[in-house]
Amino acid sequence: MIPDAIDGLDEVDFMTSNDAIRLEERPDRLVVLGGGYIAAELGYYFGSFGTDVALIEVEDSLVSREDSEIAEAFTDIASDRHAVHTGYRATGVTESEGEIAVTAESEDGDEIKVAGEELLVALGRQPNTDGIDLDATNIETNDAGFIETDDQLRTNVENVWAMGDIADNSMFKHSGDYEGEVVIDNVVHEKERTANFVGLPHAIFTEPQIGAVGRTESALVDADQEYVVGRAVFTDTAMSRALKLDHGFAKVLADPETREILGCHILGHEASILIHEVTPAVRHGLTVDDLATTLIHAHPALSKVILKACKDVNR
Amino acid sequence: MLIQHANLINRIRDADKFGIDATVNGTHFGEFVREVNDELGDVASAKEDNKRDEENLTLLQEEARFIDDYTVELTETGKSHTAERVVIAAGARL
Repeated sequence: MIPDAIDGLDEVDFMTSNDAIRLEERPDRLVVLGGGYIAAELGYYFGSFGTDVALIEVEDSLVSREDSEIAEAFTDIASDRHAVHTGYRATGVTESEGEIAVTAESEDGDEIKVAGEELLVALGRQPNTDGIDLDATNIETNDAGFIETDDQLRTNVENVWAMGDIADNSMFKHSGDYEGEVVIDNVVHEKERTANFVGLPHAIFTEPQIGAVGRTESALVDADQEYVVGRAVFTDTAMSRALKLDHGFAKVLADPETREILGCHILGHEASILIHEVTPAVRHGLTVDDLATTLIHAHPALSKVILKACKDVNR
Repeated sequence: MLIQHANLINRIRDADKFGIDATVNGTHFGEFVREVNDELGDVASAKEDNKRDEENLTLLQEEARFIDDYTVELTETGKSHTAERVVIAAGARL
């Protein structure tokens, strides 16, 4: 998304994530607009090779769609590495003598100026519905511009299906691949297969990583759904000590009555792998006790952090 | 894939925690960026080749716009294509 509201943005030579991953000369100073997963990953990448990275994010934390505890802890880690300006909205951009300066404002009117050799705009993507003149059809879109689909991925127009980033499901490569399988079954084989996104995980590939599945705590609060929480820190596991990790935790949310796992959020080493233990549990309605007592975890695998988080859920 | 390069340089920096002396003598930033992008480019073009080789499938590689529910018009050639069934997978943009 390239916002019109930032003065001068169209007059400077900024990068998108597509440009940033092709940049063959590492910038000494990089300014990033946005604090989502692309901003977080590219900030980590350039920062690791010595670039001074500054991130400007309008929300109060980076990766703000994650569970808020995860987002806050991640923001703390990122703040040790980069100049993180959360709660600031970019208002203007200027370029002179090879330097790009961004002006940003907080809600209470505080103004900051952040400059770098390169500017990366990572403020999210939007569905390509206008690019294909969808207005010329009767196909319905939601307020955000995504094509509305039913559980068989059909649009409101007969014999027209939609899938991937343009449809009103998640915008992940792996959800798109899954939707592709469903669409092939329905369009080619007329199977009337339904897409089921329960237990769809996602991950952010910084170090430490983030892995998540199911609902966040704030989503449960918003839905007025009762829950209990279990937590475990990585440093309480043998493998974490062997790897000399100094941060990371897993958080499990469960129904207080049935004890079914409603969500799991992990910030830590290899969280993208660890989350896949919980994915089938969320998908198939397993309980924290199923993972804590029925499933035997190999010692000293890092997976024991999931076991400990599930055991931490009070009876 | 680029992130693994970042992870590795960080691991080397952490080596002293494990009682191992290691230093980074240099990084070939431009080279590994090009190598990763070339590899991903090869994967993408292999997919394209597979589509071209597939029976009963014609790949028309240009922009297209809807003119009604079941008809798209190619923007370059102006040719239109009508179908009984349509799958829209036109993705997202910045």
